[in-house]
Amino acid sequence: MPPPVPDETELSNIHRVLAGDASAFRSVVLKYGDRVLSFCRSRAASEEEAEDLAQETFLRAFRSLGSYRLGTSFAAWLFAIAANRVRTRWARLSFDKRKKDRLKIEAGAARANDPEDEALRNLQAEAIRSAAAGLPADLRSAVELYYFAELSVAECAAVLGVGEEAVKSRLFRARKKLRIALESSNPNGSEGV
Amino acid sequence: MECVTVAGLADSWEKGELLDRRELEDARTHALSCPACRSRFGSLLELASRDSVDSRDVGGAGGAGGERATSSPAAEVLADRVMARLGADAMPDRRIVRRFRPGLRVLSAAAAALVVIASVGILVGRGGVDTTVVRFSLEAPEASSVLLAGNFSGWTSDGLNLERTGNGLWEIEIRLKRGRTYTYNFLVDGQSWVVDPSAADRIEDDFGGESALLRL
Repeated sequence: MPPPVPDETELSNIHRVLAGDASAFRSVVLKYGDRVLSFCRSRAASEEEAEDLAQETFLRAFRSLGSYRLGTSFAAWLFAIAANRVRTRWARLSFDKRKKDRLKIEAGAARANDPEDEALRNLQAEAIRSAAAGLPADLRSAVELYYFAELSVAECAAVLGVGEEAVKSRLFRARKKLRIALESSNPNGSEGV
Repeated sequence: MECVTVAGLADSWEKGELLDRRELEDARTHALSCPACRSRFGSLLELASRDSVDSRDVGGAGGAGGERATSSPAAEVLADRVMARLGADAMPDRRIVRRFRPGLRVLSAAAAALVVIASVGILVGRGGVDTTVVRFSLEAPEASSVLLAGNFSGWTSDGLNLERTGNGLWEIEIRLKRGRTYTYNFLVDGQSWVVDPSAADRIEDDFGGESALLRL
């Protein structure tokens, strides 16, 4: 199944931007902002860095909009840019800094002043990101695009340059590993079943 | 909901079966009040809750996202900052012309087997004081067309059709300036971008793919 193509409103916004109406790009950011942020958080060392990456992604997308091929999935095109931004930034950071920043996030989540359920959700989100980070590279990419960026299987296939069956296979294998990792990470309490 | 039902849902999710959104929500509610299930399944249910069956074309894993009815405050802030950085007069870069098609696969498995040898960037003669003639070639016996696109052509492939020379080889010679770095790829049958398999170096492009690198 081919990736879904943009609807008429989205196409209209893209045409307006290409015609010189930069303000129309705001609708594009609003539509994909949450998903791009979620995707960037999967590799970012902090919330600030995730937002920086998301901004860079949209700025790059704006500049490169002329290369988007109408009639294909805009989401797949956009997240290919996001993946490259994340990969570039990730490579620049030293392992030590990533580890240090990651510990800072975990500590922050643990002592959050938010209501208890929100703190729990933060811890769960961190556990999910950590579990995904422990996956082999091919499985991790599929999980990040599917679960964090919320792309369809077809869009994941487009971004990764593989077939849909390969994406499904990666997600299947990833879920098995994620379940083991998540059930043992126990950020939700100290008791077991 | 019983604990055993929550465990059953986790099993179903792991197998890639579609989950009922309401049942999943009941399981999450149960986990909030059941320390044992919260401990074991809390994060897993959070991840599984990102699936939705009605907005994905998934066979197996359910679907997570789909369109959002409203944007979050974080997305609003992001949009404000992006638009502020762009400025009112910003324009997309018009030099970029469909460099890569997202979703493009670098040849299917069957076709990939055909592209086994390639030679690139062979200097075949001096084209002038500052230029030289470079031959690009690709072996693709079953291809019906091979085009060359690169930064030297603005990433359009107009006029850069390779010619079939026999034995499945496609070639083109073009004049390029010395002392510069070029990036390029082949476009096979108008739909599959191929990174030159024998390129000395490659670089990532901005679209999750790669380009061959040629330094003269």
